[in-house]
Amino acid sequence: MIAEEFADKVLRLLASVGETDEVLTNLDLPLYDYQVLDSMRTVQLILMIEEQFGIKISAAEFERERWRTPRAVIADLEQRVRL
Amino acid sequence: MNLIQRIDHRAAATPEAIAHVSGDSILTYGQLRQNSDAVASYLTQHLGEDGRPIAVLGHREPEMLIAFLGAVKSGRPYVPIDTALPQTRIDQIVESSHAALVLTPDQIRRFSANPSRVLTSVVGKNDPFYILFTSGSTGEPKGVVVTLACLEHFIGWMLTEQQFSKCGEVFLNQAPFSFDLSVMDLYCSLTTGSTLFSVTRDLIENPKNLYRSLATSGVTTWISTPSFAQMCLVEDKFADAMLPCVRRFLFCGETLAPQTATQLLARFPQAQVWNMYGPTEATVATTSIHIDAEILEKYSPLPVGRVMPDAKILIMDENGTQRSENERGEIIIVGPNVSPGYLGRPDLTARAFFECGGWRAYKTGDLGRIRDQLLFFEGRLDEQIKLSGYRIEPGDVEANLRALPFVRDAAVVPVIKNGAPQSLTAFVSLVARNESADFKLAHNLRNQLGERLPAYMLPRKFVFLDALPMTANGKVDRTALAKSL
Repeated sequence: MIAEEFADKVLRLLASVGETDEVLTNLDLPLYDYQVLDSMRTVQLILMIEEQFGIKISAAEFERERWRTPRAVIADLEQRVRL
Repeated sequence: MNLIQRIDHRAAATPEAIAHVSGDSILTYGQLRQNSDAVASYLTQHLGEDGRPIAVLGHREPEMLIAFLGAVKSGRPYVPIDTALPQTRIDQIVESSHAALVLTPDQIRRFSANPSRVLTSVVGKNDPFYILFTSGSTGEPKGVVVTLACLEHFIGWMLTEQQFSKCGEVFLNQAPFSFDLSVMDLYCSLTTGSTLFSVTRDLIENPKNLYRSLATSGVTTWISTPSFAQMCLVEDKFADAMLPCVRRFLFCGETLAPQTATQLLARFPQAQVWNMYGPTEATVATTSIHIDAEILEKYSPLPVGRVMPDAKILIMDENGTQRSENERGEIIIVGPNVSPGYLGRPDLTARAFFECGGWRAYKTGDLGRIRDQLLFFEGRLDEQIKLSGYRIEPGDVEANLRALPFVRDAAVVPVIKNGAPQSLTAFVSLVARNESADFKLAHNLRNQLGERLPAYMLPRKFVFLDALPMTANGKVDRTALAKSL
């Protein structure tokens, strides 16, 4: 999957979990400050990422800082794919 | 022995035993008894014996327990208020409860320090023991009064049915003290001389620390909303290696999905899963059932169980006629666990409570049916919904939205996924709107509303309309709005 396509899919997941299209255009939106994500939605997103991309993220090792903005989510997931 | 004496008795027997763990704070039974006596004597000395409630404003601090017992030992009910609530809501609750005093953990620590001894008289059987405020459809929270007798009946049933081991249990406290699910863990724990293990807000916000703390908790009895367990289950390590002592999961407050029960039984083969049901107005829970493989095989959705001893469940139609087995109707609860009503609101009390064969009875507004002698919950007669176990009246959110400047009208509708409400969407028409994008506008409205309502009541999504759709008889067309989601 090319990077752009991957980023787009991540953003769509984020938009669906966070129930807002704002994340599609504003990549620097502070997700937790704007309550796009909270604890419940973070775990929903973790589940959906596993289903869609087969990337396994441990909720027990997760830190919010890594998903501060849509841009950060994409970067974090790209890194996990590479590892 | 009444419930308060029972807790004091535990303190006398094992003063060094740990009553409460919350973050880094630890409270022993000896401290709980001594400090709650001190608070009771302070209250009696300074406020007399007028029986007015004491509002206790905090989060999961051990001082909360001290103040609860201190209040009832001075013959006053307590009103637990979580600091997560916005100031406007706190003020509303304090005002409508006519609280004699609002206690914070700092004050409680100070009052505990000077044990000036005056004789205090504890709350009587039929006196209010606590008052819990829940969402009211007109935008004002209403206070449910629960007496010592109600609470004793509920706890007595729990202790008989669950056979908790004396002094050996660690109870998970996930629900805030302002939510009556916490009454189950708090008093089952204190009356058996066990330890209450609180999950604080910081932990819930940081899953990493949450799992780490669960792993050290030694929890034997897990009491939470099903949503909280579902959230924990996302982590594969959430299994018996993380919580080797857990023997039972007790769920109440919202619908337990069969998948959640199945997953838990697979991950915790040594534990039992129980489903329970009941409104705050009938003291925490009224029915229960042990969910085992056989029940899971037979029923989906799951039953909420059999009624507690000495109480009755009736299923009635809109004319108050009892329905027969397997017919749907409103769930009515009759018995010694039913609350005397709403504080200072005889109008609301008269609408929902009545006398039935010498007992108090409560019209839950819940729909259900009895099948195979088991109660099944099937939704609401009105608009009320449960989100993560929190009871929300959309009318409450709407009234508070309309109170904001620039909002002309508002309707709030739940978003349903897999048959369960996931979040709220607000449809708003504004008096005038500026040029800012919908997202910014929504964010501002949400923040303004957040100054009036607790976070769990805030709509997730805002949709701006020029006017709300109306039905032929002039009401907001909720069905049309729900369909547009």
